[in-house]
Amino acid sequence: MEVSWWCSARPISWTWDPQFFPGIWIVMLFIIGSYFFVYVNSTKKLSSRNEKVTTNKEKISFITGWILLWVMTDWPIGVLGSGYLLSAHMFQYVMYSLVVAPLLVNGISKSMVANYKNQWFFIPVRSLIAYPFVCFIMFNVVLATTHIPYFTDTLKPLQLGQMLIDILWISIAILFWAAIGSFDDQSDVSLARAKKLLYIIGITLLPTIPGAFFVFSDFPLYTTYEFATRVFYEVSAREDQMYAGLIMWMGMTPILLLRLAMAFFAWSQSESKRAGIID
Amino acid sequence: MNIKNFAVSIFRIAQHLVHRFIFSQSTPVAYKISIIFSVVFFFTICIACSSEDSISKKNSLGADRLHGIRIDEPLERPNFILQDTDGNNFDFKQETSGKVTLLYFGYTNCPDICPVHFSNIAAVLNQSPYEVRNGVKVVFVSIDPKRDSSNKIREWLDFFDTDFIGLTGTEHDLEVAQISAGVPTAFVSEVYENGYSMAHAAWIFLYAQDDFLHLKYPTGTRQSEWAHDLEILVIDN
Repeated sequence: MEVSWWCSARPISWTWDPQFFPGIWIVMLFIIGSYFFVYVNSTKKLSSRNEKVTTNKEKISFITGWILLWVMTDWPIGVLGSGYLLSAHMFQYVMYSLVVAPLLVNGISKSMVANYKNQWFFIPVRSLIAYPFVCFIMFNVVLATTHIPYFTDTLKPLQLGQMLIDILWISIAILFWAAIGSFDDQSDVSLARAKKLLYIIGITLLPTIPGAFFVFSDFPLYTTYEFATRVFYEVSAREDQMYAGLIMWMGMTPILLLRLAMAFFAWSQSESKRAGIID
Repeated sequence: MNIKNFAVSIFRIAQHLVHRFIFSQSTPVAYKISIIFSVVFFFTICIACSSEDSISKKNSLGADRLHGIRIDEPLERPNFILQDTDGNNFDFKQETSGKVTLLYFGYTNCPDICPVHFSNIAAVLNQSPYEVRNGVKVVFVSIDPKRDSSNKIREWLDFFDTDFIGLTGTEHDLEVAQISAGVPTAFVSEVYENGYSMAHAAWIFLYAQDDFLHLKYPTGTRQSEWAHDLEILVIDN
């Protein structure tokens, strides 16, 4: 079994033999370890007040997000995405941004955050998520820059480069989804919900731009994937790129529509309640 | 205003902006972080764009605006006879004369270079204008006669394009073909438990309509570069 720190693009042919990446294992164990540590500490602090730190729903959400994060980062999807198939890379991105990040964010309860909100490492995060518009811009800047061919082709062959991309994607996506929660703290509930809808609509539009480049480009945009040995002979680099574009369009849209529908129904329900239609 | 004054003014404006937005107490931390973040990414993009530009300039100036590497003393189209995948004799010089021809020596068990080259050429020809598709012959000579039967070569080439020509022959005939094309003779480089790998020339040779070898293409030739060169060589010439 081959051992490397992190997945990266390598000029060797694709194999279905499992590979071991200690770096990924360490980061994943660190994430779940930190969650467990925060949970235990918060439980100790709240035990006197007989309050629950997290609900079961929150725990399930975090653990599902964590498992999916590991699946998306490690062999085989991580290896395929880092150097063989652009479609796998795009699948990773969509999953990180729209599935894993919201699951992780939903899994962290307010009482867990409350114990750490004045810690030095949490202050920049707290101040960022108070400004959803800033997070929105950062999310899209990362989306755009990490898909510039030069940037991708330079970082992908390096293990630390690929690690940077993975960590950047998931961190920014977490910030983005955490910032949505800050709308709930606003005094005007109706306006906050409307803003939340606009915020979600906003991120459905921007990813269509790189998606369009992938679908309509005449040639492969990334040398990493153009010269990668073929995983499937039947799928050329150009076709793979087209599938990546379609994943960006088709994959993102249903997930975002679902989030949009959830936000919309919550909004309409609260409006109805306020109007006295539903008691 | 001279350059020095201009530079000083720019520096002062930058200094003012940094003080106003980064060090000012009234600017929220979120905005400070996002400003620093945007500046870093802006410079990343600038570096990315400038580097890409310099690469493309270097390539396009390589050989009279063609991306292939120019052969200073063009070699004549080689003269060798091998068997095609139907088992018929194929006289390379006669069959390809007057056509833009891409000649490559490789083997079907090749794990990386051969399939990538052929996949890229097939993709380019597949979306090229009819004149280009019709005006280019792609010839693959297997240098591994022990494992590459005619059927296997045909099957392998059909993954890419059914019009690609596959050739094989005896070890002696293949050696003659390689020598006449001016490439080093392939040999077994590594033996594994379940097989072996071959060391072989990784260039694709391009013979133009005048029957001379003018350009060769290394591994790493991009599809956009192939498309650009083939269109010029077939249509413009």
